[in-house]
Amino acid sequence: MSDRTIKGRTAIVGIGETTYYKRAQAPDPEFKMCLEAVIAAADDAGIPVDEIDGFASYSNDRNEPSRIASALGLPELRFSNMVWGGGGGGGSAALGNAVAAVAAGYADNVVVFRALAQGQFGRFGQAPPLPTVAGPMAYTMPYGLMSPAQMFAMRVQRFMHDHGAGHDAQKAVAMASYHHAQQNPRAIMRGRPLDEETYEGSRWIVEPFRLYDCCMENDGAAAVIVTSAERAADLKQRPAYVLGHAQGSAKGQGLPVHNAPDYATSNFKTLAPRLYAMAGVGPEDIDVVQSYENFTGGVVMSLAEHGFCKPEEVDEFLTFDNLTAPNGRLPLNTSGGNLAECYMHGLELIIEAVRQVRGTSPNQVPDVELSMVTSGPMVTPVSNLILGASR
Amino acid sequence: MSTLSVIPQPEGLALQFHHAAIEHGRLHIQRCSSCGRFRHPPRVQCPECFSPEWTFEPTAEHGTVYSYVVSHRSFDPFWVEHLPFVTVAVALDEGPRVIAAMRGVESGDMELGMPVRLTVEPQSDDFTMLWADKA
Repeated sequence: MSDRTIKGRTAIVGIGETTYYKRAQAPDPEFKMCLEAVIAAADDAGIPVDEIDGFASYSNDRNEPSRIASALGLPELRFSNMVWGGGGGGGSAALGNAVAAVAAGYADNVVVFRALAQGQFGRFGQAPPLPTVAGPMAYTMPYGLMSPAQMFAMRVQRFMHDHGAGHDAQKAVAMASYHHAQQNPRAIMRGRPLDEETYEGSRWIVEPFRLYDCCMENDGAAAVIVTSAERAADLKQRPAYVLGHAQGSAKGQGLPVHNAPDYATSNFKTLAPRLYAMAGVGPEDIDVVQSYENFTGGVVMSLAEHGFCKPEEVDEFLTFDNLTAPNGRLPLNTSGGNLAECYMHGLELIIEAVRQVRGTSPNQVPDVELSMVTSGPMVTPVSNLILGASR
Repeated sequence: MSTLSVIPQPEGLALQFHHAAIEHGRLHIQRCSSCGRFRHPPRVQCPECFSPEWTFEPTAEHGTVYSYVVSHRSFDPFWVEHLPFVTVAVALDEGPRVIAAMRGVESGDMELGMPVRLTVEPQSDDFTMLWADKA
């Protein structure tokens, strides 16, 4: 009887993305961009498109696998999966679900994707103007508490209070991301570097978040392909083996209206130990991290909860020098991420994590063995991933 | 005190929550009749012991600021005229946290842990605002 693990059973073998556009600026329909990214990923892998037999996505993506499969003329659909809840917190979970499908033998070549065109379908994260509001929002909307920024700012504020730290760490996360974007030809913020004065002088959105603490809003599509480790060895690119994965959240974290029992958390406390145990490594072994930035404060919490530093030490450890490639102690968001490359709800972070394993990142860290992704933060479920250069 | 320009119309348990506050002129929250735990927002079943029996109990209308945010932008027609405004998550003495609108304190003077007193301010027969003042 085998251990309950997916360590080393599969690899990410292809990556594909469209051009990234500012919100509502995509010139193409959403579904077309989705197909483009899928085809690009197959081409990158050296896998014929008609060998794709499964799809996994997250964040209520609109592009149903049956529709994609039919459009691409696929001989058979064997896996069609959506992570339930969590928005971008499900990015690594979608990857993990694809890994499980391949490891379980349901499907052989599973695409994990995200595609959105907000000009076509409306602004992501903004509720349509409805005459009624149901559920937990009934207790927050009358108080003007309606945007993700406000909801998450409440949580980060508490973290900063509990640990006496976080403002400098937030700034370092933002500045490192923008620095990395300058070397990335795909980054929306390439050509727009961020200095300290600009960061400090930027307008408050909702305290403690300034403009540069918030992710962008973008259109585009991105996809990766997961296949077995055995097949991966015969394909075009260096495989990024999936060594560990976790998804979910702790007891009571779904309780609404700011009543989660463990409030000032990015929700990784129960996931990080499982991730490291499955991969058989610790935080000191990780060479590079892509950590989902809905807001910089969430990244600070994510990194502390993955054991890279103590919460009280975030301002001392999460510095621009430590977070920047190639030589920082913890190179972070090396493509520019959600803040400065594009907000593709974290799929672009998975792609960058793969590039770091391959050695093809514009901000390459030397000798990457272990490349981590965290997807969330502060939502439920959250998810994470460790990729490796070896099985 | 300013009145909301658009007054919400709650339904179901939310409506009962507001009615309990308006009828008694005091904030009430749900309490499980089996295990005694207070909870918010109201729900049909206790998340700890799963009992469907509950009551709305009066609170002391007192708590501390568990967290707060200062909003500098809003889509809401009422709040856009009160920028920047402070929204608080108050940890009630009874345990649960409620969202309320802070008044009378400059945003720069806000501190977590600040004791606050809550006031119910009905906007209609079916909806009440909750205001927080420094205690």
